[in-house]
Amino acid sequence: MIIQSSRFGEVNIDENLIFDFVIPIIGYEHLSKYVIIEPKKDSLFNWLQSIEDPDLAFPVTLASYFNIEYSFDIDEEYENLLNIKSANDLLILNIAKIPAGQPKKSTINLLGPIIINTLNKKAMQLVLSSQDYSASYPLFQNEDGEVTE
Amino acid sequence: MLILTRKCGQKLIIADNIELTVVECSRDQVKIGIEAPKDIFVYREEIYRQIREANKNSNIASNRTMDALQNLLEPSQKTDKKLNSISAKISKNKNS
Repeated sequence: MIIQSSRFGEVNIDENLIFDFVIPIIGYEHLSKYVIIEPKKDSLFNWLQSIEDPDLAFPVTLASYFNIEYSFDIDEEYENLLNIKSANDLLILNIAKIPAGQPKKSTINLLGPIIINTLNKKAMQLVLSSQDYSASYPLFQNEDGEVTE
Repeated sequence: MLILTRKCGQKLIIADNIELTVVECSRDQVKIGIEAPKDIFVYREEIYRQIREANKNSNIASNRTMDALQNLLEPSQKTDKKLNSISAKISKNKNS
């Protein structure tokens, strides 16, 4: 199907790649359908694009790309909601915040990861109860642009 | 604001499908049990606000800002097979 994206114009996507957010992204409670758009091959960042709102897209990445130690438990209630049978079926994405003109000040949100069951495409933004993770974890240690490790 | 006084173990009913129970009280903390339908989402307020703010600020990025960030990072061989298998590819990139 053809979807509209303000960042890419018309994009033809496979309907099987559409996620259904059973728990919405916080602040966007009226929207539930998203697709991941890969802007370039082997890109470290992709767009989580809303199907319902062409202007809405979040840069997403994986904590493992930045060697961030990251682990948490998912409550059984949410496992049931997403019908998760195995951790292998899960994809965990983190939303990035990239300030215009200041890419070295980019951060990623470890506190509210996006959880996707890749088998049934059910997804949610999970809110971790642990205070160990930041909603604005810096990707770079300093202005010299060294990657935080 | 509606203000009600409750004792430990007592409940509040909101609409006809949300039940709040005061489970435990200490000097500066109360433990509250919540029973609500699955489509009612309950968050700790300060965490909810942090994440909502982070989400809102993330939506501002454009292709150009994402490219600027990509250019700072070393080209990587790290690709996630699972991610790759469920992401849509841009065949004609109108922004390039």
